[in-house]
Amino acid sequence: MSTESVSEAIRKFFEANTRAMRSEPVNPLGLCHEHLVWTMTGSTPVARTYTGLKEFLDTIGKALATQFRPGPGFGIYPQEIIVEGNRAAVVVRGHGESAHGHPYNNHYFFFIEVKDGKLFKVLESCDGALVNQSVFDMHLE
Amino acid sequence: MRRSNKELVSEFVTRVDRSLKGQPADAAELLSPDAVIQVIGSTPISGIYRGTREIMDILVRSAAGRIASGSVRLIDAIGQGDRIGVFLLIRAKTHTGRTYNAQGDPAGCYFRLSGGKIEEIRFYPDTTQIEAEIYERRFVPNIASPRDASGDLR
Repeated sequence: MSTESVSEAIRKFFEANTRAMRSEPVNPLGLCHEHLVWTMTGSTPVARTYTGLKEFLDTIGKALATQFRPGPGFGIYPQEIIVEGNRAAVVVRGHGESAHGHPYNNHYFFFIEVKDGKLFKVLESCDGALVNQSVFDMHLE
Repeated sequence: MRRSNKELVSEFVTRVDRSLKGQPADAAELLSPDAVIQVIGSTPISGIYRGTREIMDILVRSAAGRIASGSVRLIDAIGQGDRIGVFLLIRAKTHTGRTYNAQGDPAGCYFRLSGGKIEEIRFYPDTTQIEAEIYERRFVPNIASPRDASGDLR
């Protein structure tokens, strides 16, 4: 795959996520490979490896639909896409609001492997403390 | 012969590892004097540190105040030109004997380089573990907090 096609697959995925969270009729997971392997690092309640598009859809897809407040301000924006072969390191900023009404402006870092023009293997780091506080409605003591 | 950008990042990680083990290593020598390090999140060590003096005097000193020893290893790197993305395996022991990242999760890190020096680092540690293990704080559900009833925290 060319550098441009890897970047394009990744940009389209994040753009579709932004549009979906703005309540537009698009399916970002349609841009993921059937045999998707997505690992969320860290210590949040959702941190683990999801194997297969169905498992990811059944868990994270459903969580996204209930744990966030969709709206025109929602966005997930790739800032840097560093491509080597069919893999990319991606720096992403997000802007949104959790279903609890807390701001959810997270920082993300991904390694993404693209196969057949779709996201195939994803390794994700983000601000897990923000996930706990905003999405899971916790505070620190 | 000049090091490649990936080799330079690898050398920086090796030197940070040596420092965490209490061995002599001048990791800051590989930073540009105007380097900027961002630690994501809202933990006590999160923020943007500008210049090697701020990095050493505030970020490194703050971390050393809590961390007794540790290790960092480069697991994987993806590079294109002056930008390198890596995943690191970081573990640390605090002065009170707590362990950061006992589970061995990788953490992302972005590097931008110029002229053989590191200009920018954006670091994505496990902020939950920083709060819970390094700063010994607890995440408590808002509805379960007895202090919630008084409205103090909400």
